[in-house]
Amino acid sequence: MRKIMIAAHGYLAKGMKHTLNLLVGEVCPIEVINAYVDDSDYTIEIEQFLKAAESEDEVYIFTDLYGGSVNQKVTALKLKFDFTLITGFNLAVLVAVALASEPLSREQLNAVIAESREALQVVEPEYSEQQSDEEFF
Amino acid sequence: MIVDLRVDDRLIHGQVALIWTKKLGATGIVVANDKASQDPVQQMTLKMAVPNSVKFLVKSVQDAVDLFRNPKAADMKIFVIVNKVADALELVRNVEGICRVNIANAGRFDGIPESEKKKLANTIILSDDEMSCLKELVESKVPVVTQVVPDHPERDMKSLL
Repeated sequence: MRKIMIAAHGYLAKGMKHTLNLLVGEVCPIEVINAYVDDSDYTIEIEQFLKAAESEDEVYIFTDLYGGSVNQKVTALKLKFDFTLITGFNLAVLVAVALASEPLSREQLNAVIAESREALQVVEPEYSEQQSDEEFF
Repeated sequence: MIVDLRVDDRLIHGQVALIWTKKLGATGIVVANDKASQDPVQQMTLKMAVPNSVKFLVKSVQDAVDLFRNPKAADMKIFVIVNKVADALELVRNVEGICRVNIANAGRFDGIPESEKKKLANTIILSDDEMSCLKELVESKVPVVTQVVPDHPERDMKSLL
């Protein structure tokens, strides 16, 4: 089973989960860590999440910022647990991973990340002619 | 072949383009909407939502009928999106081989006060005209369901009337 945790500073993770559920429904379990909103030690919750995972589970933790303290703490847990850590997430990558129909190989995951990275861009209006019916078919 | 005819009052948005296109394995998307077919700005913004690998056209409802009658349409998996039930009915009346009609989101932005409409589900709020189109639609031979996102169960529209 695919299990996802989103861990970020403040309430970004909670909001991201809400948005994801709105867009794709509840396709897989998603846990959130709202780091530093109170004094509690969120690393305990992350460890519990990782301990609860079975060996056949496909486990992902998404953190908000490379070099940020949340990502530092989760990176340290990589030494103890087997999971995939992705940092600098955006909505596109979360949707793509949540919806993947099969477990993702590292190569497929890299492709998903490359594609999701393209979702971050400066937008300029660009008119183009529609395809003709012949081009459509 | 039209794999899905979706009624969505927002036409193409993130949910539709990303999730349904993939789920349906669609190779082409057609928006059948008279207003959008005359509006280059709307065409541009709709196109932004469509994955690059998928063919895309915006047509008036009548031009869409002509397009789907092209014999080559049978070789493609086409995902069609309209924004009201009346347009879906027009397509079902005039085009063969539609696999399914999905009334996902309808009637929320038509400017008619909700007190004058019938609420069939959270995202389906229909005027009297739309209701009569829906009643005719569910009597056609095409299955008419509602399913907002793929992991929701598909519900027969007849059970909501």
